[in-house]
Amino acid sequence: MMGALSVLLPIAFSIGIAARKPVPLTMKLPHEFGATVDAFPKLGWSKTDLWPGQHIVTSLRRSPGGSYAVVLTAPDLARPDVLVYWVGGKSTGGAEPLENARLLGAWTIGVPLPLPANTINESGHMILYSLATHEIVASSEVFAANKD
Amino acid sequence: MGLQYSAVQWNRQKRIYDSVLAVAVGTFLVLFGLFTEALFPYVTDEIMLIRAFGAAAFLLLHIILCIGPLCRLNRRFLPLLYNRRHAGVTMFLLGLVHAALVIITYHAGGDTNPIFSIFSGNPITVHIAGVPFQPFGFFALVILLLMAATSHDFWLTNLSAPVWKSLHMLVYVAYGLLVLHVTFGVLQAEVNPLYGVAVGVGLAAVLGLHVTAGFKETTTDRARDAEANEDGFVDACAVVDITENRARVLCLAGERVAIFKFDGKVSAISNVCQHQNGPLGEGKVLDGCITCPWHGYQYLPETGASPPPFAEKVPTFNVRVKNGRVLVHPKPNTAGTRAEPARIAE
Repeated sequence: MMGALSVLLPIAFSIGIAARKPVPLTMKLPHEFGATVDAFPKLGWSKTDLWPGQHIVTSLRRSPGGSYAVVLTAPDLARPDVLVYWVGGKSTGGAEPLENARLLGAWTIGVPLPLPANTINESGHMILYSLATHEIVASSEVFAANKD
Repeated sequence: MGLQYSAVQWNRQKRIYDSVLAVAVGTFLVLFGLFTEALFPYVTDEIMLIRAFGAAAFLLLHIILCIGPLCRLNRRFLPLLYNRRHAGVTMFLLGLVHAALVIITYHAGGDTNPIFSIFSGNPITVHIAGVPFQPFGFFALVILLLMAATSHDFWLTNLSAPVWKSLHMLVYVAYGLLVLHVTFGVLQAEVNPLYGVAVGVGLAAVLGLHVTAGFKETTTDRARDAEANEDGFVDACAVVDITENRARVLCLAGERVAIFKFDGKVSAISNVCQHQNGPLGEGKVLDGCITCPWHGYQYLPETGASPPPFAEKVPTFNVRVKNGRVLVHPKPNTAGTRAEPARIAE
């Protein structure tokens, strides 16, 4: 038995390692999935310091119809099932999003998250919340879409 | 050996062995969790526990499998062999926790029977890397369950030694299945070369040690017998070549014979212990009994029988001492047959 294992196991192990497929990695969703940047062609601003302690680039884009969307890009942020919320006012430092938090959508790099119309003139901040670990991943500084 | 069956006959060595085992396993699990938290903070607790228990079981199996050949190569490792079965049961329990967490996390949330889901969750594809890995783990766990459940000497006695040993040799099948489980499972997603190297090193260590120990043992077995004299006795060795209260082991007619020297006498018995095929010739004579180095089973050198009330017996061989040489008849006597020890001339 040992003789057979000595021959077969190394072969099977080598085949298994050699035949590995590369892990698929994409920085951007295909345009078939979700909203596209094309729907919000005008760039309002782009900030790299909106999220303390995080390397997240936040862009505010505007559609021809006057609606706004935020696009978040964070190559270093690897968290499962991240949702983006909008909360009016300053951050209170809680462990869970407030009840008045507005869900903007699931965070995907490069995919615009439309801001609700009644938040355009309101100062508030965004929260990244991991649905898998039930924790707030990051909180942004306060900003207002049409004032910055 | 015990007069009556008890779960574990605790002694100081077993307590030390199990304490070290428990501390080592606990330390590994804690360190694994801490490193995962530090290096992979996005990994959920469920995934971390699945990997921690799986890694602990896999690593412990490697250690268990290396103990046997290490003991063949160097007697210093014999203390590890003494309570190896406790390590085996521990390894099975770690694997069981891993399997339970996997089933709960990945297979218990739908309408499909969780056990059936293990086999249907990974459809076979034409690509080698798509080999379904979970059935390998399932069948390995079944083997380890059978081994853990029959690890007590109660089963050794009631199943008989050959059947019990054959069952427990399935550990090598389980090991092969687990290597496939890891190779076609986690190593398909974790492409960091460190993981592949670690598994490869473990595989090389287990196989390499077994092959090395096998070569060492076959060297003894293939040594050519000396020619028999007119009485059929074979010149085995010089009396002075045997250490007092120890044995010299040689192969006669394909059988390993242990020739012991004690109290100015020489006796020869089969080298194979009736308990778990331990090498009696590597033991010593204690209180007038040949004592197996693995688990302490004892046999009287004159008869090859265990002292009452124990019933184990090994074959004996007729011996003579002539001109300072030990002569052994290669035909074994029936187990338990008295073979008069040969006196060493002054």
